[in-house]
Amino acid sequence: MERANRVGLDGVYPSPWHCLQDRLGFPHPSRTAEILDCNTPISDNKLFLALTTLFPVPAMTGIFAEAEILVSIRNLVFFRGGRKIFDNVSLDIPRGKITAIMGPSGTGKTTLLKLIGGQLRPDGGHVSVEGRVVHKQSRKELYEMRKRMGMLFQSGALLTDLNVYENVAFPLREHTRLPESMVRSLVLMKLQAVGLRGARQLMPGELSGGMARRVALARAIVLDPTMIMYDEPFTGQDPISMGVLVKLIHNLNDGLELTSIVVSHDVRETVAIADYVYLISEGKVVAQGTPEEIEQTPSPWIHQFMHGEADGPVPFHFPAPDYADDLLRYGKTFAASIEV
Amino acid sequence: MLDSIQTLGQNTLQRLEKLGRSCLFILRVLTGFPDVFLRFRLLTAQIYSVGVLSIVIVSVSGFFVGMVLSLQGYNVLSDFGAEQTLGVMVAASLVRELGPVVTALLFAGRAGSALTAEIGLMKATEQLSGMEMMAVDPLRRIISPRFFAGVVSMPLLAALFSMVGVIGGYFVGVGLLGVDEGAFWSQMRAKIDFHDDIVNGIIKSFVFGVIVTWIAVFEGYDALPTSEGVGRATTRSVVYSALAVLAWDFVLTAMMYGDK
Repeated sequence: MERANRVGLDGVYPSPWHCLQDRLGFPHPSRTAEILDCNTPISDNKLFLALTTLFPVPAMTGIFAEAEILVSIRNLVFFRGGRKIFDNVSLDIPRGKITAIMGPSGTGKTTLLKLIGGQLRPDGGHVSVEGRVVHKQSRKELYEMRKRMGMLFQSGALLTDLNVYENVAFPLREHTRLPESMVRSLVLMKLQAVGLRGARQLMPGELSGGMARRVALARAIVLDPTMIMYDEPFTGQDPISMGVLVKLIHNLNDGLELTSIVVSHDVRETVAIADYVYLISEGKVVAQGTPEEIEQTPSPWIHQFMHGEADGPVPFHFPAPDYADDLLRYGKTFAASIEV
Repeated sequence: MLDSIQTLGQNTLQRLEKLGRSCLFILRVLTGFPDVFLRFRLLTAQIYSVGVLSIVIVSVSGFFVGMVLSLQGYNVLSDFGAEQTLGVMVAASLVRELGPVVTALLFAGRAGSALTAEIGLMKATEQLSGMEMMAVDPLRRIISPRFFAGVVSMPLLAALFSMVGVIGGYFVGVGLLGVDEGAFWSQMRAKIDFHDDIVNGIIKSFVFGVIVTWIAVFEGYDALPTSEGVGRATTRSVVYSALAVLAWDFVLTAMMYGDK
């Protein structure tokens, strides 16, 4: 009974309605604290999902004006290996802004970027970029669309057999017939923008992680795209590299009037530059708004995530049988075997 | 019992699905054939990588195989007083069978495994995804040059193998065992037919080139993007190539020489 109360699905207390109120951000602090007991073996995140399944909350789309939206995702459903990665997700990415998509590891943030880039096909719903449904484009149309998208991969994805200069020149050589002198000027301009003009002769293997990402960033902007997608740009970076990348993303977005989508779970750095934030967990958008709005959301789960706290509704322990029972089980089995 | 039948069915379906994927894959590669000439520098670079760098191993192997053939052939032929036909035996064995087959096996081990590992690693390090996002088709930029380089290199390497093998056979047969030099070469010239032996050998090595390179590039492209996945793909590439070469050798031999 105690466990059922904690989960809150037995209709006694706390009721689904209380949890739904919490999901919508209505103030009821005392009950929220009880519902989202830190020791509960099921995270409140799962509780939210159970409740939003029982009582679907309409997606908060329509926040941005139609003309403002560059990427529109509607009722997105996506499965991988039988696991539902996205369950009816709808969100909009506004033009000219930095939109952060955050959430715990393994929630499908990178998958979302691949869906936007047309590398994966959704199982339901659609993703539109500039009003065109991505997965309905022919290969040629998709490639034309991608010329206006830049993507910074987590690993940098630099071509290991080309040096820094050739890596940045690669898209120009593939898609344009510019004279070599102009290719050189463009490449040097982009490398200057990321501060690595002096490293143009180095091979990717000679670069640090942060430098590799900056080169990849120079390559992503060399065709002057309208949008750049950043996949975990800050992961594994030292504080200086991280600061450089934060500044670069911000400056490039403003200077080149880009639309940026930053997928990350580095909260502090991402929130510092984001204009709008989506929090995704277990296949759903669990919160959205400006960084200030997200900060003020009363949900303990969001608070725990945003502040990186060890204690909170997300349990430290993976679900397991009772600790004492588990420890004593071998002793009991051993004793029984002796008695026999 | 039911479980094992279910597993068998599941495995069969997976294999068929993979076969279908590989057929679609090679179709896309073949349709990109004209692009190879637009990227001729990539093709020559790959011919150097898979072909030229295989010359040493193919030459050394060919030389030893030729020497062994000559030694074994001399022992058998001398029992019948037919050691003067040693040149024919060595050349025919090499040009018809050993040249294409052993070269294909060596190629699978040296160049095929390297192709699989290289492409698999490119996938694991997101280089292929990166290219796709830069609107560059990796099949045309990465796979096609490697595939056509393999197809072009294999017949040349097989011809080299046979040539060096004949020299090895000559070295042992004439140089060490005392077979008459004139008989060695004249018998060979008289009995080796250009169409039946040499052209058929070239056709075989061309087919093996297609098979081995197809398997190598597909396994790399289809590899799981992890270090373990790339390792497994490389092993599969060599094993499947060897089995496919031996099986297709039988089929081709039956077609070429079966009615004689």
